[in-house]
Amino acid sequence: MTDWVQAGRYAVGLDPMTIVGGPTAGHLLTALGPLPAGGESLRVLRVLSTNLSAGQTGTTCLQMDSLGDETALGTSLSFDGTALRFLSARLGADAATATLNVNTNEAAAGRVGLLLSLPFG
Amino acid sequence: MASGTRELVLIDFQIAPETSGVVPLTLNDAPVVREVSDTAANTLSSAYENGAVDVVGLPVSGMIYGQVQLQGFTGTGPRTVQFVASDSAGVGLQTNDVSLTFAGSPNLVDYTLTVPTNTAYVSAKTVWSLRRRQAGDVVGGVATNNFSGTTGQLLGGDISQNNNLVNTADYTVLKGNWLKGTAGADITGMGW
Repeated sequence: MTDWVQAGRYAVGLDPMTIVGGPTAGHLLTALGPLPAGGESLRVLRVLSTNLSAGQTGTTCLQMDSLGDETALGTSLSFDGTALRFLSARLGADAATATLNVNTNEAAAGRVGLLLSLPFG
Repeated sequence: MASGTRELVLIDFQIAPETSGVVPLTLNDAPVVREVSDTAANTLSSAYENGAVDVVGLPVSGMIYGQVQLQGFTGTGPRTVQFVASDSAGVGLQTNDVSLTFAGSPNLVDYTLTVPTNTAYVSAKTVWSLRRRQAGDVVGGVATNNFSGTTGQLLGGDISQNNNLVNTADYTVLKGNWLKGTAGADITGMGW
């Protein structure tokens, strides 16, 4: 995710071009990070629960309690692929100008990847 | 992104017809690792909350009810009517041989069937009539199908081989039993 944002920064000229280096250690789940100390606002990304009827189509929402400094996010959504069939993912009302990339390669197995990036500025 | 609760992505699903109960929706790291970034490409800490879809299941069966009328039939007493429920592709789902008791003119008899919810058609036939099929969509759980009236009643004539045809074989049986009290050739139930 941060690589995608950094690439965008290079693309729009926010950062000077640098020699290729890359991370020297694996990056695993640092997104979870430490939880904020007591009293600090909490950034939360959630998938909303919903009630639907069998045989019908329905919609759920990926929602964020934002602290105002986020510009991009990525996550995967897992579900029972025999019970739910993924149809589509689209931008919500508060991300109308964002770019959404959806990885549906494993959608039939109940796994969908979502990458969302807001425009700079 | 402005601070506050923000609706970012809407995700559309088709719920399988046989599904019921709670289906978890889990945020995790495959195929895309969870991560939130600021404009400087720094990772921001975040909590993640899973959700679920609570699916209300369809009823396991539907009901089709209506009336049956046999062409020209004036007889009384029980007669067997065979009903076949089929899906939208015409594939038979179940067959019910139902004994219906006829009495009085115009000889309309009520029937009720319990059928699978994916029933799209229901047909009816006696051993001396042609089969008639009608749409019987029970998505809402209940459907009404009347095999009655000029365009809906079961037409007599298939008295020979019960092959859903009226042909020379039927005529031969009818001719051989003309004015005789033979049940097998009595289309109208008048006794001969």
